[in-house]
Amino acid sequence: MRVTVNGTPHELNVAPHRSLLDMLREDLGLTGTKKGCDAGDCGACTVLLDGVPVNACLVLAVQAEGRAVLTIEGVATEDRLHPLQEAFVRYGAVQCGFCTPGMVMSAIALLNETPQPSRTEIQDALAGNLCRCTGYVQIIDAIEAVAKGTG
Amino acid sequence: MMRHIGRSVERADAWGKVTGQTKYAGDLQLPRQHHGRILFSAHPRARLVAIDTAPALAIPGVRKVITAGDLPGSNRYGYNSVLHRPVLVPPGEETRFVGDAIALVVAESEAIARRAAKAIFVNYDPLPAVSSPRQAMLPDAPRIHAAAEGNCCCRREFAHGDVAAGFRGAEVIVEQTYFTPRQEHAFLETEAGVAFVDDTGVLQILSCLQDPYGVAEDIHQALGIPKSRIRVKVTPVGGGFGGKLDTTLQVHLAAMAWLSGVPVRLVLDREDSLFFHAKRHPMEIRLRLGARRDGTIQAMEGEVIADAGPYSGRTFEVVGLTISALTGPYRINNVGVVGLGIYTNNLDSGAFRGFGAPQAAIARELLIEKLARALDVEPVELRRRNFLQPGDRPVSAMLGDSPNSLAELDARLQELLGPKPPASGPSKRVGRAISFDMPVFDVGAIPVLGKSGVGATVEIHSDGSVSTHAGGVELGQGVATVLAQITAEDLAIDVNQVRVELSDTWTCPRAGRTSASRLTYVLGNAVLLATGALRATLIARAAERLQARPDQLVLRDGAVQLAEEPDRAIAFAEIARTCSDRGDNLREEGWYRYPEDRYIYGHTFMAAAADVEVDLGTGDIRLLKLVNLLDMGKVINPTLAAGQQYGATVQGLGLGLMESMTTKDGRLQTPTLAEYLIPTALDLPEALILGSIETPYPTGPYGAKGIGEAALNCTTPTLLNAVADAVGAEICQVPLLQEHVLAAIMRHEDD
Amino acid sequence: MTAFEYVKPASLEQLISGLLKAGRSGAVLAGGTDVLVKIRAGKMEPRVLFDASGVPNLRGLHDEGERLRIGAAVTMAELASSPLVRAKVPALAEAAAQVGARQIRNRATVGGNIVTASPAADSVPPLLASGAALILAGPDGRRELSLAEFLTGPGQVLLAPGEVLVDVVVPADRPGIRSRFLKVGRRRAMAISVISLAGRLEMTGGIMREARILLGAVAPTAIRAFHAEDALRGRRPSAALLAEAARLAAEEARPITDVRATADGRRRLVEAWALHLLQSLVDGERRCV
Repeated sequence: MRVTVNGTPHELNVAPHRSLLDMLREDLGLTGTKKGCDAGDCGACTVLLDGVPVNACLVLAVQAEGRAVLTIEGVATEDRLHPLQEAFVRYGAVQCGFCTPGMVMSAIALLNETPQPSRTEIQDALAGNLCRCTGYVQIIDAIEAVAKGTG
Repeated sequence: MMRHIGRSVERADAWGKVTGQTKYAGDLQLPRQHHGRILFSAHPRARLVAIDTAPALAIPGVRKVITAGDLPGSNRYGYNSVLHRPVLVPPGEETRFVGDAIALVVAESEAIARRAAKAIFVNYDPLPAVSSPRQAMLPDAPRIHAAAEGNCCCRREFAHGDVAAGFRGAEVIVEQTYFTPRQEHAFLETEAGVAFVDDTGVLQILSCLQDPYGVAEDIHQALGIPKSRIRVKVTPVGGGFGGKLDTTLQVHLAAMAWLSGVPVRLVLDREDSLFFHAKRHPMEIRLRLGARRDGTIQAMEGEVIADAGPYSGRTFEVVGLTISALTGPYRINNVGVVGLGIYTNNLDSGAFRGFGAPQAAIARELLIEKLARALDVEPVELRRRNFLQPGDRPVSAMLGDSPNSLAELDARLQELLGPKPPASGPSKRVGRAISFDMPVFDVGAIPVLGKSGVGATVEIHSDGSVSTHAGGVELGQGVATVLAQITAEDLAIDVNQVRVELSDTWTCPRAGRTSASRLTYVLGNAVLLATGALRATLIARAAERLQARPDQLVLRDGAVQLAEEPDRAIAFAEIARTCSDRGDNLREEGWYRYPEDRYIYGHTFMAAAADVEVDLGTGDIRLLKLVNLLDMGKVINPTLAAGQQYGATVQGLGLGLMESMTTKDGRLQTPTLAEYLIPTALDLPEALILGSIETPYPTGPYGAKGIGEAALNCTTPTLLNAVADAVGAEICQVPLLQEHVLAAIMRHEDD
Repeated sequence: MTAFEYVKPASLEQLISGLLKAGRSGAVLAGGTDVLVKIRAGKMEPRVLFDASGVPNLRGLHDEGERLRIGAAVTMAELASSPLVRAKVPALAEAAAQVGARQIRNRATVGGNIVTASPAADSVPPLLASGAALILAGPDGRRELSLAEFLTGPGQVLLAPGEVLVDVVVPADRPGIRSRFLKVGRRRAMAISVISLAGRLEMTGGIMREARILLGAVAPTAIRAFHAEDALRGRRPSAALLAEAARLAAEEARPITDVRATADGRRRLVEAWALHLLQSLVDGERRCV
């Protein structure tokens, strides 16, 4: 199958039942996307599939044929963090960090679609990303700050 | 004026975490890595008749299948020398819960390991599970442990004053029984690890856990491997909250690596994680309070029955903390409470943020609300009348001296709270509740936590860079950053000059467990002892070069300076080089012991308040405002401290409104995160407001206290009481679901 | 996960013939949010999965004047954001917007939701309230079947061998019709409904001409509260009447006790929320929950 991941085209052989998540983590060594439940309940595996946030555990690798995937590893540029990543650091939005990649991906998708989201819209965009450490508030603060340009 | 203390220094591990570069245990890829799988018991209680591993061994790619008979050592381990937990249940014995391990598989891939585990044929003789403490206490109940009569794991008492006299002097008495749920940690990273035996014969464990020393001990106890050949390194932990405090899969992993001769990776499925590690003890708490008409509480009496699950674990301490936390921040001098930990075949119970104190707070604050209704006194007023006063000694002999900040908290809370808002419509009611608590934290004076002493090493390299080694674990709470700040502050250097290395049993002095909100306090103090010794060394050499007396010199602004003439100075890096060249010891170990020879906890104070609006037609609850106010002592890093406060508050919200791991006949009824629900970002209150005051703790580093757990404690009962206030009826259900609210509304209408 | 073969048919005909040939060991993969979870949990063991996303014309959303034709592979996200759906079948958009969370909604399809046939499926009550019909295509051609007939029990639907759900045809809300969906869950997102309700009220001249009240998650399939509807038909709304209708609706519910709620609790919730729903339909407001 052919798939573009973080701008790089790949050609690989995958078993039909392999999830996109396992393909990213194990076949491409991109371990930034996390497996929290493998059932679509936690959002730790959120990636952007043609720009749209999905749980990679519920997409078969073969279903990504011919499409573009963006993972956390593709977010920062070579010399700079994405403003969302910087804001996450500054606002205390990162504690254990396990939910962080998924959160950042959901936040990127949100701001692409809604550059000036309300706090409720931010909460709705993050509702599929469970976090147990932060209680969400500092994450919402970070995203709001970037949206307002104060991040 | 402090450079780093009180500043929100950015955490050093943040870059790796936001870019996805940080490698958690499940991300590691070692050469020749094989995959392990645990076959868990199919029954909560059954006699294990026979195991046939042949079908598994026949599968290509299976390297090893291990049963109890293959294990070296005793096959027993357990906390606090109660060595009654098997690594693998031996045939002929009974399983004690669905998380007991029967066999281990090592295979070339996860898929093969999974298939092989399923192929193992196990012959069980299922037995009726002991599915509640009450059932376990019946005279004819089967014994889960041969030595434990009545399935009693522990019996503890907390008594003070004269309870009978107290109740005789009471004019109003209220009593209620509360059932607190089994709460699951639901850390995002499931249990995971990689183990291998290196080329020198040392067993190396790389895993996410909260007590590397305990894990090494358990591996040694269970498998007989000498401690000098066990090295435990903690990988970045994706959440702990107490759920990774007990040894989880590390002993199983050690067995797999030791016996198969290859590196083995083991990551638990979420479904396995949910039934495997120990949860918050569910408790039945019957509590009785007697008070005079003026509201002053005369006596408290009660009984706590905690479901210990299959193994003793930390039940003794949790029950002990619960019964001593029941009086809370109130002046109750006549107390008689008995606490029982009872074995069952339900899920295992153990540490979870708060460690028994949240359960106590639920019972106490709900009952005080009931007392207020009985006395027709405003609930917060009743609490104020019973506050511990400055100068009062708390009845628990386990508490030391900490300035009483209740009055200040109370005042600050009123500022943050403002007036109660009006209801937004005719069928709605706004309710408000306020609770107080006196959270505790370890100060290095509880022997089992830190084994009476805790170390940290600080080393100044010849180029002026600094390494701090400490055995605490970074769970996300920010301990590495806090220790860097403390190191840098005392040495008067930039925080970026300090690198903190954590949680390697070979390179870090014994630090005890990452629990009980203790690390800032005990490791901070240990670091200060080390940096203090280093300062003396640097100053001694600088005194020679500057031709001054040591007592005239200070470390300030990255240099050793003459206090009176700052221009006469030697830069830190330079004096480090001098010391190094002269053969001085620049690596000091600070060993911290609590200054008094007493078995005590530190304590502090907190308040929580909630405004909720209840729709009397539907029972729907709108969380308008939740305030959490905590006396944090000196705050080392405000952003990190706020993170703990937010996280703990939202866990308390979950405990109050949605979280319960129910079991039926020992089997989990909430097997995935679709059934066990934790708060999402949409479940937050409309306003979640944090506040803190800083009453320095006399013996804390820079006056710091332990605060990681505290904010959870009275969040839960505050929410429930606010709903009760709105509805006008008593609320006792935890978690409180919409159907319970409707039932309460109907009860009120009937009354 | 048990291994399976993956086929991505390029046409409806290929999908149908493939399904027919595979028989019981074949299944359709649409969004995957139910099917893949079930396979991993061992509750489904298909030998072949047929990816429906390669079949043209399953993702259309067509305005046919008095009705909407929704392709089976249209996602919940598309339903929630579609101006057409929000205007013509607003209760369906409301339901779709509350399924799971964004990651789920971006993949989950209305066809999958219907065919999986969970008693708590959120798209079903509003579709039943509108009298939706399904277009099924199979080896013997196409046929139309009402959604109500199609759902026969928990996880049970009237799909013949080789048959595929192709379209959902939904009558649009005419002027004078108000409709709403609400769900009660144990948390505000990512929650399987404890109960759900869809209501569709046609009011003219202050009289309730026709009411449809659908109850979800309180019976093997979503059900109409016929007695409640009968009580309202042709009458003017009053507090007492609405309360009576709500009480009747609760009686018609056949809930079970499970990990999310007790049967009694569900009945109480149905009564309380049915009243709330009716009040909001009568008032014509979109009340915030």
